[in-house]
Parts: sequence; C-alpha cells; structure tokens
Amino acid sequence: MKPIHLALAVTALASPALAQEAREMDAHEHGVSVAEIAVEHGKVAINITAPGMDIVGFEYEAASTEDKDAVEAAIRALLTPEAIVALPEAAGCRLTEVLAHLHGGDHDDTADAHMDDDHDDHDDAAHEDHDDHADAAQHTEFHVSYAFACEDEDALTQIGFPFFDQFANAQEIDAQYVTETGAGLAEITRAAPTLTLE
Amino acid sequence: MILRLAFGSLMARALTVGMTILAIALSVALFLGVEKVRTGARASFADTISGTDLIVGARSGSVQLLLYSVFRIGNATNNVTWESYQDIARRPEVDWIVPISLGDSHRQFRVMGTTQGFFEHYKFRGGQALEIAEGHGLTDLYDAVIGAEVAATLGYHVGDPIVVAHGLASFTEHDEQPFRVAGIIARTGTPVDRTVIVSLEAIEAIHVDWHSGAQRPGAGTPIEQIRQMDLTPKAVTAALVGVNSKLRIFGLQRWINEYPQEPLLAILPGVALQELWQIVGIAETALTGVSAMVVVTALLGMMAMIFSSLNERRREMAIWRAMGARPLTILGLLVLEAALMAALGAGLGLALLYGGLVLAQPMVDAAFGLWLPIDPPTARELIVLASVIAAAAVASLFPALRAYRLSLADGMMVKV
Repeated sequence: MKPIHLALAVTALASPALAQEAREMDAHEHGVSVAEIAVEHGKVAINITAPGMDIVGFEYEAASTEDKDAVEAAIRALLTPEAIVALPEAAGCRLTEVLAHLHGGDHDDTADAHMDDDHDDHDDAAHEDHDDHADAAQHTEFHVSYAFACEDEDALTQIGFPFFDQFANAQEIDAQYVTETGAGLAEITRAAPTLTLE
Repeated sequence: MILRLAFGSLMARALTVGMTILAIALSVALFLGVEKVRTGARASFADTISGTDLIVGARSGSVQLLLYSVFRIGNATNNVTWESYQDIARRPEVDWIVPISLGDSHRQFRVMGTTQGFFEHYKFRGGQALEIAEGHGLTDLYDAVIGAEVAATLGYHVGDPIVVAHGLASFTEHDEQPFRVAGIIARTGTPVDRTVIVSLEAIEAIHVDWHSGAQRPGAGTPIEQIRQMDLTPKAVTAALVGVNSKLRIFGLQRWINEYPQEPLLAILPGVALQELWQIVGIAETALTGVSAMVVVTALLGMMAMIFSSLNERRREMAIWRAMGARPLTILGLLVLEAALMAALGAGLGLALLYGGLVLAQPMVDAAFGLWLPIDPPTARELIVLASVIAAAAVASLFPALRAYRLSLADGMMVKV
C-alpha cells in the first residue's frame, strides 16, 4: 500500500472514534527539554519534561531487553537528583520529594509498564489498535519532578544542570522560572548548562 | 604645552573643526538616544504589571494575550466564558482572581469592565497599588473611574457625565445609559492612565439592548428596569490571577492550559514579556547597529577632515620640525587634536541628548505612554563615550602617520 492510502485508511478509521472528543497534541521537539522552576521561602520545585529521544534515544515502546534496560537506567538516573540538577552548596538544600515516570502518548507508563507484543516495530499498522490516537505519531516523554527545602534562600542564585552529562542526546532546556521577585525565561544549553535566577 | 598647541590649532580652524565636532555630537546623541529609548521602553513595560502570577485568556499566543490584557494593544481573539472563569476561580491554588472585559471605548480611550478586586490586586512598579486621587471607587452601576491621562486630555472632573461608545472606532454610542465620573486615578505611568474603568455589570448593562452586535430597534430598556436585572456577564476578555504559593503556579498554569471544556491560555507575565523582548530584540539590535554606523561615519568624516588639513598644514608641520619638534611630537599633536575633537563632540552629544530628553519626555509620555527617565549617564554610556574618543584617536593615527613620514621632506620643498 502506498503511504497516502495507508494514511487515508488510518484517518478514516480514526475519524468516527474522535468525533466527540477534543483533540490536542502538545508540541514535542527532539533535543529540547522543558523545565519549570519555582522558588519560594526556601522551597524549590523543579519539573523537567524531556523527549524520550533525548533520554534513551528512541520513542517507541521498549520491547527488546536492551531498550527496557535503557528505560530503567534512565528512570534510575532521573531519580538521583544530583545527577540532574545542582543547587548551590551554600544554600543547604535537602531533597524532599522526587517523582520520575515515562509518559507515552496519552497513557502513563511507569518504568516497568505493560509492553504489548504487537508494538515491536513502531509501524503505522501498530497504531490501528490504539484507536484513541491513531492519527498522531507516538512520542514518549520522561517527566521528573523534584522538591527541595533549602536553609539559605539567598544563596539560591543559580542552578546547574549535570543533566547534559547524563544524557548525551539532550541539547537544550527551555526553562521558565518563578521566584518571589518575578518570573523569567531562560535557554540552558549543553555549552552553558547553568540557570541564573534573577 | 602640546595640549595648548593642539587646542590653539583647533581654534585656528574653528569652522571645519566645529562642523566635525557637530557631526560627532549628533551621532553620539543618536546612539545614546536609541539606547535610552530602548532601556526606557523595557523598564516602562516591566513596571506595568507586578504581583500578578498568571494572566488567563482565550488560547492564542502568550505575547498577544499579554499585550491586549495589560497593555491594551491589539484585540482578543476570543472571550473566556463565565463558567470557565468560575471553574478557575474555584481552584484551591487561586488566591484572588480579577476579571477584565474590554471592547468598548470612550473617545480614543479604552473602556475596561472589572471588579473592585482590580483596585486591590493590580500592582505596578514593583508592588505599588493604584491610588484614587479624586473622588471614590466604583460604587454605583453607572460609576466610571478614569485614568489620569483620560482626565487631563478630556478635561474631566468628578461628577461629569460620560458616554461609552460601542466597539473601538464606531459612531454608535451607548448614549441611553450615560456614566458618571466617580473617581480619577493618580498617574501611574502605565496603560491604566489611558483607561476608563467601569464595573463588569455595567458592561453587561449597556449591552442589554444589543443582540448579535446590533442595537435592537425601538426604545431601550429603561434604566430602572436594567438595575433590577441579573447582570452576571456571560464572558470576560481575560482574568488576572494571584496564586497562594509560587510553587503551585506551574501546576495551575498546566491545569488551565489543559482545561478540556474551553481552549484557554494561562501565561506568566514576566515570561511573556521576555518572549516579547526576544522578538523585539532583533529590531533593537538593528537600531543599535544603525546608530553605531552613524558614529563610525562621523569618525570617518573626521579622519577625512584631518587628511585634507594635512595639505594645508604642510608648511606648519615643516616649521615645527625645523624648530626641533621630533616626528613623534607631530604624530602626538595630530592624535591629541582628534581626541580633543571627539571629546568635545561626545560632551556636546551628551548635552544634546539631555536637552532632547527634557523636551521630548512629556511628548513621548503623552503619545506612547512611555516614560523616559532622565538619569545621570550609566557606566555603559560612559564606556560608549570613552570608546568614541579612543576610536577617534585610533582613526587619526592614519593621517598622523602620514604626517609623521612626510612632515619634513614634504614641507621644505617649496612648491609654488
């Protein structure tokens, strides 16, 4: 079948199922992760969303042992905050919460989530039994959130991102931050992996 | 000694030197002026809103939402339904929420419908609250509180009647329901100065007889009857939200952005402003580049002037050499002259800049709502001035080196 016929068939199959629901697809850019950082009264909350491509190098559902190992290793790395973010030593921050998971399409998978056997090769046919998002290419994302409590709030002037050393495919983090004095936007890159809070 | 010589030599050629200095002065004034307007505009925008954690509107672009909700630039693509507004207001993260409704105008000024909360929660210039200079806030349905600029331009006083026009540039007026000026807000230097504020219910009331964007023919509903009606709005243009903990801002933002019943957008004002600067930054860089080129052109003009003066001054140079001046002294003299010209030009440029600022400040404020502060020169500006002088000295090295080589041989040969 020519790709266009396949696409038409998939669209035709998908339309009735989608008719009654709102359809949305978040922007997803390989190489670019998104971070949200909030600081208040010495409490720091950091959320990072990274494309699967950046973290493990693929975005299909892990099927082979190596792929599953890669996902597990990634989750383990994400669960170690010091491997991902570096708060200033002087601030005396302690980890209070950490949560990491793999998010694929519109259903959440934990590290050891179900792996359907017919999802081996990420072809279009495999999408047909995913009737709820048959028209969208599947993108997986890693979500991680950290909460810290810091003793010296004033020492929280910058945040480093060893994240880039950990994941070779990651190139950039688009960060939004809020502090008590204001909000801002910053681009953190592999070459300059530090966010300065103003 | 050599300084006096250089100064005297410049004075001897007052006209050409004067023109060169003027060119440098104008270019310096332009360069610093562009810088002043740039930083002034940024500061003015940044000062307009503070204390608001999120702005919620219909889904469009974050910059667009910021511009129409806070700066009254451009228009909303859509409204936010009252049901969605209430859903957001009920979220546990929300500390306060203030609706705003735009779309009508009075003369050249926008009319904004809002609640009492706007006066409590809208903050500008790092946390300053709005102050009512004359009269009082919104108490009656047909009360309007006007900004300082509105009052000054239209000559309004507390108690004057005003009529709101339907839409932004239209001849249809809501003249059957006149408002009364209840209060005048002290000058803020923000778009509030150019806004007529009425209650959200009042916006609803003046549109009671309007359907599908047209006035229903026949006599309007009597005001007494309108006062009895339920004037809960069906939609608002945007809402300003305060969150009870900064740590929960992103969570609430995500909740609003993923709100399934209606496509909404929540933005952090500071972040949206930075996005705006990223867009405007290219134009700013271009402006700075052009004005820097003007400075370079002025310096090139000076260099050409010195080159041509070398011809006139052959004899002079030769006499100095004959009197025992070393070639290096000649070189130093020319470089010093150039540096002096540039310093005078820079000083005059600074004077021009401040003179211009004093004259333009009230006009720019009135026309664009942009307050250009008159501050002493910043370190950055002083560095710019110093580099202009240094660049002039370097540029003069070329003619000076020529004079260095030729001063003796050239001048002693008598050519008639």
